[in-house]
Amino acid sequence: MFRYALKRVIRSYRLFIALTLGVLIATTFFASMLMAADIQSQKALTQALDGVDYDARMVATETTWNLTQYDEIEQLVEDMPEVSALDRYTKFSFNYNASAGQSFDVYGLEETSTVWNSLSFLNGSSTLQENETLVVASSVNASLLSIGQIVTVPITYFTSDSPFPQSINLNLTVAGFCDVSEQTAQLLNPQQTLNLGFIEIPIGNWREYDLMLVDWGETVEPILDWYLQKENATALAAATGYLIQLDRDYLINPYDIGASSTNIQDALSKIEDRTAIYNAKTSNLVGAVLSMLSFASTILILAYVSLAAPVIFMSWYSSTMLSDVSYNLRRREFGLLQTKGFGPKSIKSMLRLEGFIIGIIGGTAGLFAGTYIAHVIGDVAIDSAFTSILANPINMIFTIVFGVVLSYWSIRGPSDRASKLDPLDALKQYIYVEEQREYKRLLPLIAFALGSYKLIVWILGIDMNVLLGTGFSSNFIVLIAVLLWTPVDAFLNFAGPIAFLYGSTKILLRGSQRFQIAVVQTGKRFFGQFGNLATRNVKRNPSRNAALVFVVALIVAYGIFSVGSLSSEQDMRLRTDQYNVGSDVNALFAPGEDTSDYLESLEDIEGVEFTTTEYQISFSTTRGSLASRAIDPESWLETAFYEDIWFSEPSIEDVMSEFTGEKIILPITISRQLELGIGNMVTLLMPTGPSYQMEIVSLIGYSSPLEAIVGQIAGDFAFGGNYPAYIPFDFLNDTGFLDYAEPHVLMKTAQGTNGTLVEQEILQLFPSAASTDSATTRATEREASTFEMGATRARWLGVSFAIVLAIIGTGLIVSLTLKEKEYETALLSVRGFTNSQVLKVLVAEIMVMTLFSLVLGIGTGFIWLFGDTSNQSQNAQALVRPQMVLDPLTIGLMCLIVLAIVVSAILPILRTSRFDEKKIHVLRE
Amino acid sequence: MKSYIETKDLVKVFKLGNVEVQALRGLSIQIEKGEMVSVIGPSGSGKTTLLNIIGGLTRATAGQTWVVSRDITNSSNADLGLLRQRVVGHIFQTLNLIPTLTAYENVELPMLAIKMPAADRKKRVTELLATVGLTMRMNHKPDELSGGEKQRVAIVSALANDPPILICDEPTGDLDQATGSKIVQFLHRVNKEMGKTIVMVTHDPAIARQTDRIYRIMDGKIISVQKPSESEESNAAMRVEMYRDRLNETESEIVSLELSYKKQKISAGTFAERWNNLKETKKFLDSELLRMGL
Repeated sequence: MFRYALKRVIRSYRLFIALTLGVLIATTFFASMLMAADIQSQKALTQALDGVDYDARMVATETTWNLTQYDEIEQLVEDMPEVSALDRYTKFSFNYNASAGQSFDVYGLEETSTVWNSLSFLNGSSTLQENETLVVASSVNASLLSIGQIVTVPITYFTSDSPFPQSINLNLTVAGFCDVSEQTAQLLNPQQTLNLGFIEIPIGNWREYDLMLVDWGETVEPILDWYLQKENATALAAATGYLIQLDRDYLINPYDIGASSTNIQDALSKIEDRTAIYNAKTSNLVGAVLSMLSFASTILILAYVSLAAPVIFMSWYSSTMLSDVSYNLRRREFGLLQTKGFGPKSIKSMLRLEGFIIGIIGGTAGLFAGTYIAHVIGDVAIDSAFTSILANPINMIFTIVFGVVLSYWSIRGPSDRASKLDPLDALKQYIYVEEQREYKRLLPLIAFALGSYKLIVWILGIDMNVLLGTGFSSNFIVLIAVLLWTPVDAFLNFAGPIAFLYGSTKILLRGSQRFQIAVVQTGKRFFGQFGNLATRNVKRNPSRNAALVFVVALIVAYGIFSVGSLSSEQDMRLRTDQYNVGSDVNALFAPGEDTSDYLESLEDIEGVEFTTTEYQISFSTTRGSLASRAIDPESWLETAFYEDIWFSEPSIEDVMSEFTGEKIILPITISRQLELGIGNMVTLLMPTGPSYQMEIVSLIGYSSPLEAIVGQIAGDFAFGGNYPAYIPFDFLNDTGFLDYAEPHVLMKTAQGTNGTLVEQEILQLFPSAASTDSATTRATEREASTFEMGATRARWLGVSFAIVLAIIGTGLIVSLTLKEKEYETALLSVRGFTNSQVLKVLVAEIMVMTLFSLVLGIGTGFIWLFGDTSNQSQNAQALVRPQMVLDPLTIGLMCLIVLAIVVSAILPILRTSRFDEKKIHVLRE
Repeated sequence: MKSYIETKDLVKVFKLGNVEVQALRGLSIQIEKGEMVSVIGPSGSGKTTLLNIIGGLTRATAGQTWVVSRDITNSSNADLGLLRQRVVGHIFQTLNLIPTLTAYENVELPMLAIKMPAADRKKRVTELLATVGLTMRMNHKPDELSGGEKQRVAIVSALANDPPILICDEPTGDLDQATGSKIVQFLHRVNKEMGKTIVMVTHDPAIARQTDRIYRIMDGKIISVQKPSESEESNAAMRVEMYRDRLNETESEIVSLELSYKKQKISAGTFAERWNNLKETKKFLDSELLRMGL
C-alpha cells in the first residue's frame, strides 16, 4: 500500500506538486512565523543577557561567613556543573554624617571579578592597596569626598561577652573615583521590595546610592581573618556573599525561554540545597529578564500565528479544492483499483497515505522555506538554517505535524468520496459529477454573524471588557449570559475577521451567478452567445465556482488587509514618534529657563523651519491631576505635531485665533465626567494659590462612533483615554507658574532633515539643554529593537505571502479547474470553435468569476482592515490612533496583488484556449 | 483534378518521450464526394492519425492533403478551425458531448461558433434531434441518456453546421451490436439522404462491409482497398497484387533497417520497435497470401 502510494506520488509528480504547494504555502508561512518569533525572542534574550553579568546572588542570612566558610562554599559550588564562576563580595554600611542622613555602603569586591572589570575609572588610582577605596562618582553624596581623604568606617561586631556589640574602625583612604554602569549600580544597590506574600512592592529608589569600593583581598580579607581569630566574636555587621555566574550554555536554550527559566531556577535550588548549612540564601538575578522575555515571546508568537491564521485557512481551503479536482481527474484509476480487488477502505487508506506523504514533504520543505523567508523578508538573523531549525525541535516537529494534519484534512473529503465511488461509473468513461450542493448555509451565516458582531463592536469603539464587566453586577441570568459570552468574545478578537471573511464571501457567493450574468449581458457585444454558454456552465457547477470565488476572494481580502495594516502600522509609528517628540525635534530645558532667546538660534540650524516652546506642567481639576501644555497659539500651530481630529468643533485654527487668557482645551474624558461642554467653565486647581475658572473652548480626545451616538442620545458618555489639556502661554505667564513648567522647544524641520544631527547641533549650541529628542532618533532606536520591530516584520511576511498566494494560489486553482475542463475545451475546438471563441467562453466563465472574487475580496478586505483599525483605535488610550492609510505605495501594493491575481488567472486561460493536437487525445481516453 | 478527399504520401511522426514513432509512412488515399468509406486495421496502424489529418485536428509531417478538393497541407490553425467549423464533423467512440449541457445545447454548440441566429439555431436543433428521434430527450443531459442516444446526439451535433464530410472514429465501438447497427443505419441515411461524405474507422468487418470501400491500414500504410460491392474474384486479385507489393516493400525495409542499425544510424529502441512492426506486417502478409493459397 505504502509503495503504491509512494509510486503514485513520485510518478504523478506534477499533480502532487500542485497538491503539495497548498500545504507548502501554509507550512512555510506557519514555520516562518514561528521561526521569526522564536529567533527574535532568542536575539532579544541574547541582547538582554549580554547586559547581565551575574545570574544569581548568594548571601549569608543571619550570619557572617568567615574565611574558612567562604572557602568551603566556594569549593562546594564551583564543583557543580551548572556554575561557571563565583565572585566574593562583602558589604559594610556606615553613617558618614548621621545627623545629615548621609551614609555609605562599602563594597569589598575581588579585583579579578567581572563586576570589578566593569568599573570605569574616572580619576585617581585604578588599583587599590590595603585600606584604599574608590568612590562611585554617581553616588548621591560623592561630592562629600575627595581623593586622599581618610574616611573612618566603624565596623560593628558582636561578642558572647558584654558589651555584646563592639566596633573596630577601618580607616579608608579615598584613592580615586570611578563610575558604574546602571546594571552594576542595580547589582550593588538592588531594588528593595516589601514582600506581602502574594505581591512584592518596590520600596525606595535604587538610583539613589552611596557606594565606596575596596579590594576584597587587600582590605576585607584581613578583617574576616581577624574576625575568624577573634575568640568570643559571634557575628560581624557585614553582608557576606557571592555573585554567581551560571553556565548559560548548559542551562539556557535561547529558543525555549520558558524551559531556560526553569533550568535556572532548578540550578539555583540545587545550589541553595547544597549551601543551606551555611545559612546561604540564593536569589535569581535573571528570573525577571527571562519572565519578561518569555511573556513577550508568547505574545509575539500569538501575534504571528494570528496573522498566519488566514493564510493557513486559505491554504487549507485551496488544498481541499485541489484535492477535489485531483479526485475527479483520477476517477478512472479508482475504478481500475476496485477491479483489482481494492476495497473502499484500501482506497481510502491509500489516498490518506498519499496525503500523509504530501504532508511530510510539504511540512519539511515548508520548515526550511519558512526559515529562509523569515530571514530574507522578516530580517531575522539566522546563521544557519539547519542550526536554527535543529535548535528548536519542538517547532520542527510542530511544523511538520501541522503540514501532515493540514494535508490529511484536505484529502479527507475527497478520499471518502473516492472510496464510495461505484466501480462501473468510474470505469465507463469520463462522467462529470455535477454537484448540486452549492454550499452549506448555516455555518457561513453563523460565521458572518459572529464576525460582523466583532467588527461592529470594533468600529463603534465598544470596549466589550467594560461592557461585559457591568453584566456581573446585574441579575443572575445576565451574569450567566456574560459568563458564556466572554470566552466567545475573547476568541472572536482573533477569529472575528476570519469568520467575517468566511461568512461574507460564502453568503455573497450567491450573487456570483447574477454577477456573471450581468457582466455577460453588459458585454454582450463581446461575449455574444459564448457568454451564455459560460453562464450555463457556471449555473450547473455552483459548488466548484463557489469554491473558486471564495478562495480567490479570500486571497484578495487578505492581501488588501495585509498591505493596509502594514501601512497603517508604519504610519502609526511615525505619528506616535512625532506626537511623543511634540514635533520633529524637541529640546528640553530646565524649568524656569527662558528659551525665548534660543528660538532664533535654533531656527538657524540647517533644516529647522519653525520653532515654538511648549511648557508642560501638571494642574488639576476636581477629577484629579491634569497634564497641561501651555502654548503660543500662532507658533504652536505651525510647529507642533497635531491632528485636526483630536479636537472637537470648531476647528483648531479657529480656536487658536483667540486662544488667550483663561481658556482651556479640555480632555473629552474630563468634560464628560464633569458634564461640561464647550462654552462652560471648568475649575483649574493650581498647586498653590487661587483656582481659576477656565472657559472651555474646545475638547481634545478620541470619541468613538458609539460614544458620539450615545452622547447625542443620553448625554455625555466616555470609555476613557489619557489626553493633555492645552492652555494659553500668557495664562501661565500671568499666573506666575512659568518658572515651574518644563520648557520644551519644539522644532519643525524640512522634509528629509536628519533629526539626530539637529539634536547634536542643539547640544553644541546649548549645553544647558537637559535632553533632546527627535522622531529620527526614535525611528533609529526602534529599528534596533528586536521586539518592537517584530510585529512590523510579521506584517511584511503577511504581505509577501499574500502576493505568493495571489500568484501561486490563484494560478493553481484556475489551472486545475481548467485541467478538469480540458475535455470540454478540446471538444469545443473539435466542434469548430476558434481559439478566440474558446477564450471568450473561458473568460466569460472563469475571469468573470475571478472579477467577482476581486470585487468581493476588495470589499471584504477593506471592511476587515477598517474593523481591525477601529479595534486597535479602541484599545489605544493615546491621542494618536491607528488610521487607514491609502498612500500611493499602499495603493500600489494593493493593485499589485490584484494584478497578480488577474495575471495568474488569465495565463492558464490563454494556454487552455489554444488548441493543439495533443489535446485531442483526451477525447479518446 | 484532385479527389474530394485525397492524401498523397502522408507521413506523420510523433515523438513519445525520446522515441520517435512513425504513425503514417507515405499513406495515400482517394475518396470521392458522397462516398462512405471505412478504414480498418489493427491498433496503432495509423487509422486515427489519418482521420485527424483529414479532419483538420492535426497536420502531417510530410505529404499532401486535400479536403473538398482544396489543399489543406499548409493551412494555418485558423483555417483548420474554419475547416472543423464548416466542412468536417467529428464523431468519436465516446466523450462526444459536454456533460453540463443538455442534448439540445450540445447540438446547438457548433452553431454558436458560426454565429447562427438564435431562431435558425432553434429550428435546426429541433429538426436534427427529431431526425434521430430524440425530440423527447432534448432537455436531458448526457448522463441521463443511453449510450445509443448519446451517440445519436453526437452525430447530429457533428451535423449541426451541415458539414459535407463526417469523420467517425469507431462510432460504434462503445455500443452493443444492436445499438451499433442502428447508428450505422443512421450514418447510411446521412450518407445517402443528406449526401455527406463519410470516413469511418471501425474494427467491425460487418460494419466495414456496409461501406462503399474498405481501406486496410497496416503499419502506417494502406495494404489493401476493397470494394464490397465488386465480385470477390476481382477483389481477391487486387488484394493479392497489393499484398505482394507490400510484402516486397516490407522485406526491403527490414533489410534497410538492419543495415541502418548495424551502422548505428538508429538507436536500439527505435530499431526494436520498427523491426517488430515490420516483422508483424510481414507475418500478416505471408499468412494472408498463404490463406489465399499462394
